[in-house]
Amino acid sequence: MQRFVVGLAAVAAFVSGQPVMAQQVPKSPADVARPGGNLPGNPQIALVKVAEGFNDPVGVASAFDGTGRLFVVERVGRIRVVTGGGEVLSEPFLDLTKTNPLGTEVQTVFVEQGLWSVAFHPKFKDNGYVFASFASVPFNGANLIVRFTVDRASPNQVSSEQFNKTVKVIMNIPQPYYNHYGGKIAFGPDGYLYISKGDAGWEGDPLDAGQNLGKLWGKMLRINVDTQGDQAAYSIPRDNPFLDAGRDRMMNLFGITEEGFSKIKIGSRPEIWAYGLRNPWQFSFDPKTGDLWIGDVGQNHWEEIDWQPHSSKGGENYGWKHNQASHCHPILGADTKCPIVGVLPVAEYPHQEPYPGAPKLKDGWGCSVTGLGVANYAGMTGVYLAGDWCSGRLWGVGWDGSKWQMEELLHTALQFTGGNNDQDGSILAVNCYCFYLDDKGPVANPTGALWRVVAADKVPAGAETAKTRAR
Amino acid sequence: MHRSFCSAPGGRSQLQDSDATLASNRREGGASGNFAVGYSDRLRAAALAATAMLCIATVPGAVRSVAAEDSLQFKNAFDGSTLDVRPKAGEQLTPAVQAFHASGRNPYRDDPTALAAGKKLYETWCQSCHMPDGSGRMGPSLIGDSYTYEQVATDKGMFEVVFGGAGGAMQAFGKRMGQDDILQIIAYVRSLKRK
Repeated sequence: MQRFVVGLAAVAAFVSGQPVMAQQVPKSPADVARPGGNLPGNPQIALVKVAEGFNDPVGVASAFDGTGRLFVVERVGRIRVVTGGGEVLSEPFLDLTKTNPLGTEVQTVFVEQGLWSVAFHPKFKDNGYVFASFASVPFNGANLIVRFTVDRASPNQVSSEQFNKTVKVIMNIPQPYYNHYGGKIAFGPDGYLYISKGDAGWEGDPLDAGQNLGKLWGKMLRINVDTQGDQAAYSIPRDNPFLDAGRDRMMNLFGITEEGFSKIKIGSRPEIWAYGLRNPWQFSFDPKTGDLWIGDVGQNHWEEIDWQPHSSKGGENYGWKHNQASHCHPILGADTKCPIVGVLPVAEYPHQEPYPGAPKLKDGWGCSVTGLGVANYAGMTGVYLAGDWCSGRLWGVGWDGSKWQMEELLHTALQFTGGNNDQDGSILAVNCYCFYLDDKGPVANPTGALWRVVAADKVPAGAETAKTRAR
Repeated sequence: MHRSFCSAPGGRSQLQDSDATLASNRREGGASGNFAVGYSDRLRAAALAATAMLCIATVPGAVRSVAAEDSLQFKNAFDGSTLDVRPKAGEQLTPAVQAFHASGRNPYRDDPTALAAGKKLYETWCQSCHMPDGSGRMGPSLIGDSYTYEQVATDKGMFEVVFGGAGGAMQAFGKRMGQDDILQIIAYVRSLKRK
């Protein structure tokens, strides 16, 4: 038997002929993964229902405080508590529809507007700080990011009084159009708060936001919320890529290299971590490696998934609006040519029509990528799980030793809206029955659920799993 | 022929009698709907379809009342689970829907009134994803030679997708509208294919 195994390994090494390489960003579109790939180890997963009955859930987070609680974000403006035992507490953790006597704080008129995300401070157990990101009614749809403090005596419920007493506005980012806000906020392994921002909306990036370093739209932002004396709302991390780029300075015409001159970008915003994004609705850090993954929603033709190693110093340009995934924007036909701007994604998938006039695909890959989280279990190592809001497909994107692979793990009937890691590293996902069409408003659509990704052979007896299409 | 096969007011047809036997067998078969031993679904469906068509053909305007047990089995396009097409509380199934349940044939095909109504419904519910001409964009094409779910080639299959939902944003519109509306939409979609 041993001889057989050794022989097999030798054959495999001979056949593959590939040395194991470290992960790297693709250098050409041919290296970008597309559906149909195979992840190492052929992982098999299932989605187990944790809880249900949520109004348009769009996000979930753990407080990483050992209580096992999960916090589900309802678009209308409420955060619900799911206990470790799977019970949904009837009183919300936070209800932003009730904190202001003049009416709800949260704008929900359009399906992309609402309360999107909650994030707990890395030292939440000590300081009780919680952060939330939402579209604001008083500020006419602007993106407000706020911090509030949990009263230790009331760990499952932040009253209106407690919220109003402790609230601190971290950022107020205007929004001219009602779509493409981005949405998720999350602390990185470095303790900084990362914020995803869409290109501020409409279609085609008419504000040229993605490439404009003077705007916060179309970006990943990275800020330090632990300011001296807790005075300023935030400060700029000392190693942010554009920290110095816009700083006023004496003019030197000589003695600086061209590279040095090219780093001067007057008017650039130092909060920027990465740019050239269209609508990075969800992003996640690999809890093991600290790598950053971004699910950037595409426009008419392509969805993209971007990856950054932990060692990145930031400043990546993901190409929007010159490129959509590894393709041109605007794409006119089969032969449209354009330069690749900035960094390529590691994975992409097309809508029905990869370019105008293309034969329509019948697979229905999807039309709106929802990143969920990075899995280091169930036979996966560093695999980014991403679902699609339109098709219900769920992919894993990972490195196979020499290139990126994108493998469909499940085809569910769920409209994925968000996801995150639980404290134990397992991946959580939420789904809604909400869409651009027939949106009945944030509390009248059929309710959505909270799911956990488990290995297919570890589904607890009697647990409800998401129905899937036979493949 | 008409008297013995199609229902007359207050009367019971031969087929209804045998169906009653079948129905009671089914109840004994358990909640999962185990059909009586000795009958194949297909045979029964074909017999029902033939009878329904015969009744419709020979008695214009009088459609045999179809109880739930007489319906074809409708399956979720996604995972094959059985769809419950019985009327919801307070809902009345129209004769067209009842005939469709029995035969799988959409009575609204080519019906100008239904097509006009179907067009309005399509514009409200479907066109943003499937486009005004049905060629697809966010959702797949409805007028091509092949479909994401092959069964959509038949009206019964298209009904299963619209009523019971499929993947992701293709919701179970049976929760949002009546079955009669769905049949009108299907009739309209089929008319798009011919354009």
